[in-house]
Amino acid sequence: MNFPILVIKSAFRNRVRTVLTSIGVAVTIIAFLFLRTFIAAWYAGAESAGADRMVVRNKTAIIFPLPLAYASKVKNVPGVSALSYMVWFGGYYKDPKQFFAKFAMEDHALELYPEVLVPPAQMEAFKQDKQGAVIGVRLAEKYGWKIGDRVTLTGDIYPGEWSFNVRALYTATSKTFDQQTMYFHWTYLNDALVEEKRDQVGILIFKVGAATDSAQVARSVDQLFANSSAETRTESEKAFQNEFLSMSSQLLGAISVISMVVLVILVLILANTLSMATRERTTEYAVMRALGFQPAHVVRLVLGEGFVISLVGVALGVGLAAPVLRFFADLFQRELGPFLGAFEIDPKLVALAVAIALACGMFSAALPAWRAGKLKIVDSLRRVE
Amino acid sequence: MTKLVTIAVGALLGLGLTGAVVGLVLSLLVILVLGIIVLASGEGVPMIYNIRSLTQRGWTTGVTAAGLALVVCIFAVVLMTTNGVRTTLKATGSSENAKILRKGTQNEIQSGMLPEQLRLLGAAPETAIGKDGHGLASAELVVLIYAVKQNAKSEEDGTNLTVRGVGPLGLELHPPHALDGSMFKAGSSEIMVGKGLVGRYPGARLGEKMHFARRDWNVVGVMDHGGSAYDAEIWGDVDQFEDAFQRRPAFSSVTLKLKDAAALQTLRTRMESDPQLNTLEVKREVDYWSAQSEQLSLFVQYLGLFVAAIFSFGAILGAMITMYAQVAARTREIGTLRALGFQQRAVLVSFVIESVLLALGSAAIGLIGATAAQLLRFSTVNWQTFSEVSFHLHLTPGIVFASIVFAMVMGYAGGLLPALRASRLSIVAATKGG
Repeated sequence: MNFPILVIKSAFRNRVRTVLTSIGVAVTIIAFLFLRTFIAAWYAGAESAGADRMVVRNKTAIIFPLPLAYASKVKNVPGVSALSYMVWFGGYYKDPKQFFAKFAMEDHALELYPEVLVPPAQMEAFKQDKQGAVIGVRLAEKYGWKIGDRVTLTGDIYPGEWSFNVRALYTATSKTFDQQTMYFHWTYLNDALVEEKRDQVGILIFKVGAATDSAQVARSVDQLFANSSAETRTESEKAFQNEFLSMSSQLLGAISVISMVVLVILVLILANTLSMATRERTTEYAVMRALGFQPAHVVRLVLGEGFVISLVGVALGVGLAAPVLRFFADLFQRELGPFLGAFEIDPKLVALAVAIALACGMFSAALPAWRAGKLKIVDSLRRVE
Repeated sequence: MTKLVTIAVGALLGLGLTGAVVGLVLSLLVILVLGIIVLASGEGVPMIYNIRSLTQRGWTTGVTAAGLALVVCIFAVVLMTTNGVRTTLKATGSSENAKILRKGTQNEIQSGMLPEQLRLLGAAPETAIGKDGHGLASAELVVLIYAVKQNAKSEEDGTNLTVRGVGPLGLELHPPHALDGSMFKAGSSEIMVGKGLVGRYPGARLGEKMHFARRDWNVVGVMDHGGSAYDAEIWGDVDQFEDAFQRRPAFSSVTLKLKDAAALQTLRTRMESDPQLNTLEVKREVDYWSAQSEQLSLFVQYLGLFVAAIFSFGAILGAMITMYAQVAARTREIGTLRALGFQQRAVLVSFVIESVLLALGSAAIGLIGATAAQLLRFSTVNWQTFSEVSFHLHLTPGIVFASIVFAMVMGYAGGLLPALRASRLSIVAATKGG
């Protein structure tokens, strides 16, 4: 019998225990993958931010608008290439609890996002229709909307009922770009507002040319409006997104801590099993040693056992993770709305989880292995269980 | 395809869970009956033996207990967090007050109203009358400002704070529990800050200045609202804020004191039939605030319970592994017990009790951890309002009780099958040794 077979045989000697331990490992790995994917999904928005896109908004807070006139002024700042603007619409479709993002945008705003794909014919149809809307494919899926459907939103920031015609569907080449957003014409919104609310935008978005110092451009934009009634704050899209994330940072921090605690539990489960397994077999190890096996063999046997058990567990865990995560992601979406855009497991994360689980297996085996390696043949043979 | 998989997983999980729960409940009944029989027949349970066994094997007991304790601690902290969000926002507002917002808006920040509507509401017969003979109704302007945290490394490390402009009646309608310093003077650049902001944002301290809306504001008072959402707000004169934030003449909401408990319904009916007021919606103030906490507390609850469920599963497995090993290692002892005259049922009951005792000990350790967690102050953004909510974690008797029950269930679930095996060992084989 060669060595690997011996390791596997000893790992499955106590079948109930090995199966229970493997299930334990699988469950903790699923929990780890879930929590990590959760955090990643949260940061996805910031990840998808384009490095060359900058966002201008009212310095006081995002809820305050900027005058439309700022758009043409910013356009003339050296270094600014393309510029567009949007405004957050708020509102809801039928159920206030079912949230998705809605923006009134300047017609060409999506051109600043090369990761967003809209069939040209649909884009043309959208531009022709004043009440047209461009919606994400996943949003369309969720509500079963098709091109040509009429969708009515209830406004809160902008009171009243607002009707739109779905004219275009967008997909995104980047997985992290939210595909559950609705965009429509800013002019449609603007024309319907009372005089004093008109000609205001939420944020300006612009691109800086390659090799331009974006920080310098941001400073010149902000200087332009310093001491005016609506001072601005200009920053990269990534910084802009990060700001929203930092507001929930403690919550995310707590989740991150919990994902580490999961690993502690993983080690505890494994260490418990392995220390019991080796203690039971003290006499056997002594016999092996008496037969001529070296301490290194015994150590390798115990480490190998830890490796095999965690390998079985992690294989089970990774195999089950995708459907289980899908189930919980759907549950979350149904109950809480699309807080999380792309809830998909990153293959890199899976690799990390496998590595961690195997490392945990070896780590938990270290102490029992060391003890088994050190045991004195005579004492152990004399010992009576 | 993915849908099918989702349904299948859901069904399997559902079936598995239901099966496990039904099995546990039924078996618990059987064990209880057996326990009563054992006690009633005077056979006795070798309890001292079980307790000593636990302390005898320190290492495995310790590892298992540590795992269980961690799970109990996390379970308690999840409940404390959910509870924290709920009580913070529930403690805000009074049930004697009504809050009026524009129809269809979820919160004050989206809402907008006009001065004429305040006048009508103040004069409504349902509104309580103050000492000066005027209706107790107050218009408030609520906006958000972006504030960078104290000692922040970058501009990005900030949050949205709620700024509330209140009128002269504001403090009468929402009286703070305590006020350090003084009330802001009407018509001045004076503000009061909630005690939750002190030291966490630049200038948020008595006698210092905060800068927002292109002006400096003198902090003349620190309010203590007893842990409610107001403790994370900045309050100042509504007229000053109207100008500073260029919101004139609109404001966000009206709070009014109701004459009596029944007044809310009549006020609602009156508003519906008044063409100037039927664009508005009235809610009891406490109801408004508890609705604000709904999403965040649901979110924490779902996530937390999911984590606790997975962890408890791991802990049950850990307990089961330990107890199986205990039974295997103590085969001869069990044989001896049986030879001494203890019945199968007594052994079964005693091993279940041992496992539950182990879990109870762990619960004590886990709850010590949860007690330490009370020192934490937790703040996060409430997505419903985009403003900060901050709260302390409190270990309530209810949570202690729930955690202990939770631990006992884990210990029971982990100990049942091993105990069953112990009770079914044959005397002859067992005394021969294993």
